[in-house]
Amino acid sequence: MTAILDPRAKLSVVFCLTSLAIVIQDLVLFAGLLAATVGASLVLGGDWRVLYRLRRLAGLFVALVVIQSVFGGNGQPLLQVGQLSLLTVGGLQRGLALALRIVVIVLASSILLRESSRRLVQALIQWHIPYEIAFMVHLAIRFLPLLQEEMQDAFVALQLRGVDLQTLAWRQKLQVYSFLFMPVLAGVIGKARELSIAMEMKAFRAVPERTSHFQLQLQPLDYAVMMGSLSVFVFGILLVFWI
Amino acid sequence: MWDVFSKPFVQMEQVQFGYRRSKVILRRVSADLYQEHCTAIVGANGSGKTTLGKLLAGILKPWSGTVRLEGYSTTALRLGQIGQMIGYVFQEPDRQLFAPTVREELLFVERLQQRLNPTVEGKADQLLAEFGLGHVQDSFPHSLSRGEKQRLALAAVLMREPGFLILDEPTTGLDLERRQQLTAYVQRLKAAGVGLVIISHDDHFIGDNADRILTMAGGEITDDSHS
Repeated sequence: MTAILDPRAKLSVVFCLTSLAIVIQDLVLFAGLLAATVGASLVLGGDWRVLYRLRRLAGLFVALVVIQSVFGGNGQPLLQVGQLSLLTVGGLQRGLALALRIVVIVLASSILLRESSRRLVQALIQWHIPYEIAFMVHLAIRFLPLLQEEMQDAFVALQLRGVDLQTLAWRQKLQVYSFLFMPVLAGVIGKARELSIAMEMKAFRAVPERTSHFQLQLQPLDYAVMMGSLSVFVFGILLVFWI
Repeated sequence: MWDVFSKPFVQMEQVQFGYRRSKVILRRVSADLYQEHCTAIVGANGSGKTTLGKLLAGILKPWSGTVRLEGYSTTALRLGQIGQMIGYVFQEPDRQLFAPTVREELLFVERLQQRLNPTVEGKADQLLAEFGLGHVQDSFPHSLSRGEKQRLALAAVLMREPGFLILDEPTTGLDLERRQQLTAYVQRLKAAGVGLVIISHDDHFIGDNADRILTMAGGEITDDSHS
């Protein structure tokens, strides 16, 4: 299914699911949206490994629940220390909603990870999005993994200079992280410079219109998926206002 | 043959490693590396040279077998601790330059660890002079030429006075003159008793510097020769 569908159909699914994740506040609706996202991800070949990576944010989610409980101050207290509510029903609901929102957005977006960047750019162009913007999207997709790799390499190199993070105070650790940006930023600027030269050598923007031999063609199944995702979106919005 | 020397600085026993479970890159590699030597690791592209270097430096952990630095297993050491025992100069110097000026590049780790004093600053100035970087000490490291970056990366690693140094393709992008200068630095390090591992394709550079050559092919050490 993932190879057959037009990228525009996949973009429609992702757009509808992520938009609903931003609009929805109610936990029951979120559970339904999560089920729909899991289903879409299964059918359209989403990358489930992204969920495993989210485990690093577990501490942040817990912290958000506590912050919402302490400063939000609504709902029945579930855990109190003196007069201070560390955990309330309202805080728990908001924290869970935020966690679910991130899970839905990440899982839905992962549907696009296995799509070829060339097909994605072509899909955007055929939606009459300016080629320059579509190309920027393509570059972002292409360079994000490289940036991640550079960051990891710099982090390793920094530690091999004898910087033992476990023995440093928090203030010094923050300084260490600030040092990491130097090689990454320099790398980005260098790559951008090389890329712009290469693009100009290929006459990028030399003429206002670009033609492409490669064209995407929407099939009946693509229309069905796009109509289906639009229906889910409209139904979701109606439920949000109704509830 | 090598046991005439003191204890090995690095011991590899039956080291097996791969980036994916389905593909083994190193197959049961064993070798002892001594501080008294300059050991070259040579072999064709994809033979596992850089992977072996990263295992030696603890950047990668073996699937099975052990890599020991001064008797400590790399799996039990943090990278920061390994960095206090050995120095590693990457093939790509851009990724290991962190500070806003050349001089600060040599000093920022000491500053971070609150060990900056006139002696340390004097050592930095001496290294800058030795590596021909004195005239660019206030420049932005990433604006230097490739050869200067390479020398700066090496000088920065030497600030900690490691007993053992791993150089990954140190002559990439260097012209003949710079290569000869690097040979002079390597000879000076050897004379100072610093153990060296050089991962390289450069036969001339290896011929000028290495006392021992480990040849790799298909993830195995196929030859271990000495001069």
